[in-house]
Amino acid sequence: MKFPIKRDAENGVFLVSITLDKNQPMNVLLDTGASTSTFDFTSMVMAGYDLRNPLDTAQIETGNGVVQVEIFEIREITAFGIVRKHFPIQVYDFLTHGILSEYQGILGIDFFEGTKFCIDTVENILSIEPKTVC
Amino acid sequence: MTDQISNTEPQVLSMEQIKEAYPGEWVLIGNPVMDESNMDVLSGLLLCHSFDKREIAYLWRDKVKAYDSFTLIFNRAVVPAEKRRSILPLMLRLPK
Repeated sequence: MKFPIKRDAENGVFLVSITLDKNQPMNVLLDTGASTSTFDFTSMVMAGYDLRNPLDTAQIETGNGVVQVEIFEIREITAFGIVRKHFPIQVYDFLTHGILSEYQGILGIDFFEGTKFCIDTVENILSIEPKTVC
Repeated sequence: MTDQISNTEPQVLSMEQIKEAYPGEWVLIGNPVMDESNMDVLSGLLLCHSFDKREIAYLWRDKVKAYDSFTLIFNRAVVPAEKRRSILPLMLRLPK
């Protein structure tokens, strides 16, 4: 299956639309260098998630040093024809860290686990096959 | 301070109208009409706007359930490039 993806005019990063819990669209960055998908705290609050009791915490390396994130589970996330239920994500407060971005998170490589995908940077198309990569 | 458009029926505005009216603000839009890529808002119901994203989140998290979908947009074009920080440098989880 092939899906068109957009590039940010300013810095060329890939932008994708995901759907949370069947009806909530979110714009996120696609970052295959990120091991785990990360979402903005405020955006998750808006999406109706109770963020008082994280499943766990973790530390991640960022361009600004090591920061702590909290781990929560998304009920359902859909993108590129893939549906992940009970998908663990990291939650990070973008505002607290001075990030003024309309993008609500980062879709990391964990979302693509068990698939074979290819990004065409000429045509800006992501091709994906739902099968395990050998 | 959040300007809630709650006393009257929310109006449908185009994205151009919203960007022109609320530069540098977060704008909550109900039932957004998206473009083909599903990335960009074309129009939608103006629910509220504020310079404080978190305030919108806490005031509206329950009210937005009345809409089929919603989106919170930010007109970042008015923010100087040197003040923008990318969310990209969120990278690897460190081993415990």
